[in-house]
Amino acid sequence: MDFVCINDMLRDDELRSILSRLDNDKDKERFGLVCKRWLYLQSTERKKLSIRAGPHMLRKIAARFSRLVELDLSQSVSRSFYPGVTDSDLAVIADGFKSLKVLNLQNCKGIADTGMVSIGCGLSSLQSLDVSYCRKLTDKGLSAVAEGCHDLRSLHLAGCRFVTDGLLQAISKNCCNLEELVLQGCTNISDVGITDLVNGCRNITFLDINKCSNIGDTGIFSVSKACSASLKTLKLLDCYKVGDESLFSLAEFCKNLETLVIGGCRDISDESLKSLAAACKSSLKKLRMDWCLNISDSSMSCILTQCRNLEALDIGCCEQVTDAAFEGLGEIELSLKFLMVNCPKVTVAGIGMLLDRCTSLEYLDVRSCPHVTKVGCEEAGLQFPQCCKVNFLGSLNEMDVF
Amino acid sequence: MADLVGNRMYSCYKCRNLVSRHDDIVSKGFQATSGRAFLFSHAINIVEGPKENRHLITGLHTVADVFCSDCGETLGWKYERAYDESQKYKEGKVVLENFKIVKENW
Repeated sequence: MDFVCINDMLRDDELRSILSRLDNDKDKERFGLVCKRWLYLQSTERKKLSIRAGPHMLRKIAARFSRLVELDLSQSVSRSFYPGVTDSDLAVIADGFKSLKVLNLQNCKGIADTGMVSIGCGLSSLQSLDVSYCRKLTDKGLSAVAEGCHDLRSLHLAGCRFVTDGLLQAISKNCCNLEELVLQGCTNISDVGITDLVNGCRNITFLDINKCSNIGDTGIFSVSKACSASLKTLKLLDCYKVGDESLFSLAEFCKNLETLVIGGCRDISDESLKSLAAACKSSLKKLRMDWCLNISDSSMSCILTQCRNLEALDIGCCEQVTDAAFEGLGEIELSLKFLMVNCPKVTVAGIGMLLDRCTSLEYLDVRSCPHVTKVGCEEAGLQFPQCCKVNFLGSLNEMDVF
Repeated sequence: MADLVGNRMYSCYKCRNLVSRHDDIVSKGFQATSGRAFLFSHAINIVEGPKENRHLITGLHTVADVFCSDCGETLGWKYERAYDESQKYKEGKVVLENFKIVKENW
């Protein structure tokens, strides 16, 4: 009688089916130890890796895990090993991981345009790239990525200060599926670039242009109109040229807006904020409007009474806001979880009125309120919700809410 | 900072912990409670306190006091955010009071 080896009879897809039923990582590793064929099956099943490796190791990893979809090489802010990821490492990656869709290179400060060109030429399936704080990168390298990776959905370029409108034009031409774009700190970009961008990219859901101080009403109008159905998050921190016109256009076109950061947009006034509150009353969840010195009680009251799904609100240094903004809330239950009320005129009475309506409050920041102190709140008999942290002194960690 | 040797450094007046480089001075025209102060592009071996909004002579800013990482002495402050355009150049930079820092062997 001939013996039949079970390994010869089982096909690859049957073995993969067995592998998929192993939920323990250790068991999956043991699977790979059986023979070279089983090792190949186990390695090519692996979808995601977070690694720190030099070029030699990278080649070996690329050879073994050839079907990797997600690769995380991000470094810490204070570089923990020298030299970190280099352009030649990126060439190895571009050559070896052809199925890669997600690549994280945050804080890999050693990489430059040459590496980006490799990525653009080699990884045509790439959907998500994070090169935040890779400060050497310029339009040249990043345009090569845009031109090579047509299916790009998410691009993070925070701190890449050499980026200009030219790159936005390249993205507009090549990456029409783009949904998420972070340009925080890319101070050279202007309204022209943003308008070009949304001409081609009409499905943007997340746009972060914090600290891009050249952006103004023209640019935001273009964004509102082009991405009206898709836009959910818009961050405009310290874009001081952004004013009422921007808010009016957001109110007119963007009914799905969930997160809006307009802190430091000093020219914004009550009328436009009221129109935004009315337009986005069911969608708005997070609103950061600290340092908006022209905002007064009338629009503040509108925001609180109309935006029922609002979970996070920052009105720090809105110097005209008084306790009157929190009157007349009636019996409405506010969904607020994070509340930063560092306004010089707000007193314990105002905080009390807010607390009556905010039963889900998790964090309250009043550290810069001259009239709101721990002692004052205790004397007034204020009841804070069970799990609520209250910051009276500024000694707690900053919440990364927006 | 691998290139400390050969650089003109400042240190904490109390414990001589190195905190900044002379080459990193952006401006010498700042005023603190104890007198003159210098604006540095960055400083080392310092600890930042909590961020606060303050109305300074030059307008509204978010600042954080900075302390020597060894002895805890207040050395100055760091500008986190500036309200006025003309003051934005200070963001991320550190003011160290002249009274609190000494030249380290030069």
